[in-house]
Amino acid sequence: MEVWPNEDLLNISDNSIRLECDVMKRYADTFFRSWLVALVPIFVLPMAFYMILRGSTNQVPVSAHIWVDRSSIQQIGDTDPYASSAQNMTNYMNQLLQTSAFDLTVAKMSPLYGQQFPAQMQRDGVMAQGVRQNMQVAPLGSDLLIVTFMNKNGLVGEQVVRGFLSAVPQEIRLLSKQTAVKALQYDKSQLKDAQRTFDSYAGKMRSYLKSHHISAAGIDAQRLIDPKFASLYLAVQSAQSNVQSAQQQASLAVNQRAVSGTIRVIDPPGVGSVKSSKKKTLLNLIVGFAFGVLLSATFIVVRTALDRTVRFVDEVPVFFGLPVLGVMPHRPSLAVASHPRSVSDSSDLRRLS
Amino acid sequence: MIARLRDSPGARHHDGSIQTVSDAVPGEVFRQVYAQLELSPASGGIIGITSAISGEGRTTIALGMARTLANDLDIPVLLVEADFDRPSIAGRLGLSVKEGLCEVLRGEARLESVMLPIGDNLAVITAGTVGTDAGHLLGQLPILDPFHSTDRGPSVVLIDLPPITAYGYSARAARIADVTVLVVRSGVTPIETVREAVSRLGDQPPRGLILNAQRSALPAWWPAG
Repeated sequence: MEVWPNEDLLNISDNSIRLECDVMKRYADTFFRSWLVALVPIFVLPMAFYMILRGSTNQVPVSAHIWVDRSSIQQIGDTDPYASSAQNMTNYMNQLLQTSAFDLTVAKMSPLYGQQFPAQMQRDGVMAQGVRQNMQVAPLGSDLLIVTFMNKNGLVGEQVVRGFLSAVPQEIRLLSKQTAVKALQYDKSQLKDAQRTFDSYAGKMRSYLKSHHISAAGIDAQRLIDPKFASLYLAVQSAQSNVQSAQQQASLAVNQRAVSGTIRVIDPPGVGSVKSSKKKTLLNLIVGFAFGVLLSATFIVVRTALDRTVRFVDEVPVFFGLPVLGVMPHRPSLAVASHPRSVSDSSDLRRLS
Repeated sequence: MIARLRDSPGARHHDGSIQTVSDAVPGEVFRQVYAQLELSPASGGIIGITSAISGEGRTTIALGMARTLANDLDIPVLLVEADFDRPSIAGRLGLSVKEGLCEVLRGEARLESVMLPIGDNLAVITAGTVGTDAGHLLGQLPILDPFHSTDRGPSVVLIDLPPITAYGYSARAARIADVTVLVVRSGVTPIETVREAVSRLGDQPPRGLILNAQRSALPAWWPAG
């Protein structure tokens, strides 16, 4: 399609400024002819962008950054030895979020959040489900992770995140305690078995020494003489070693109960994270305005390009090389029975030729 | 009178027009057009008014120009309707005539018998009864040439010619005129169509254009180009 205004203007005008002026005049004329339509996108698009943003701001993100101690990972049970601390903690937190009881705990720790749900919805688990659906945990590095909660109200989101950050250490401590108790029970059982074995072997050894009238000083000599006594002696020593080892394990399990290392919140959720959405609103309004201006300009340019008619007097010599003898201004009263007809209409007349 | 017409008062229009456009009364515009045609007011002449397509205001301008010249000039003015496709002058003037230019071209009537005086110095010839031979009659117009008769004395003949691109014989019919004026409706007629019309007129190009219904949306503060 030939682009309008085209090179015809160039052929006539030696002055490029004149060319630009003519083109600009057509653009301006188009704008002032249809300024109402042209201005619509400039007003509508920012509003549309604002409404879209408002729809998205129904979910204001509130985030907190958490530092994960490597030692605390030991307390959360099954971990991936090849994964980072943050990844392991993320997996653990996500597992917690899949637990309805945990979600309900978090929800109950956020009174403002709970107010959003009627009693029936709270009973039906919708409230807890909302925590699960709107809470996101993601690692940001080897030891850093971010917890984000989406909610219409930033203050509510802040409270939920704080509740989550309180509930998680509680779960970890509970898990750690359970693990430690299990370990202690196991170690005590092992110690008991080891002690029983030792007592058995020690009793046999005492009986042997008594029946052979051997004093403590003669034990080494008797080991060389009697191989059975030698094996019994080794069994007693082994059982004694096992008892000592079991005692150490039990002691370690008791110490583990005392470990309370959990997560550290280095960037607590706050109002600041909510404020950032206002900047986004302004940015969206500016972007909407820019798109509106662009759309309006496109409308003007396209409409001008598609208009291939003579508009101004000074265009007549340019396009036809003919002078303008007169100009009849547009006056509806003069247009008596003179209805503009298109070129296609005139084709009907050719049948007569 | 030409000198008076050329000195007609007028201000430069914001779109660069040398004409007085928005403030001019139509009569003054017609006087300016006639002045630029450089016809002798004493000897008269034949002015063909045509357009590229129909609906550009050709007949309206022909009527207005005929009335203006009839008032201004001392010699008779004759308005002839040669647009056989959409004859409208009779209806506009409230005339009920059956005979007109078609009858003259067919040889069924004499020119003087179809001339209807509608003013002190103005007469009109309507298209008459247009039949299926409209195209043929149009082609006969420059051959029969009923308006260059010397026995009627000097007069100004305004011929409302058919649109150039509408009839195959339109350009040929335009040859009857001493000067041809092309009416172009601003913002309606495509430039290519006007160019084609100018091209069809061939070695007898229009003396100039009348830009009809010119309307600029530019505000007054917009700099003149």
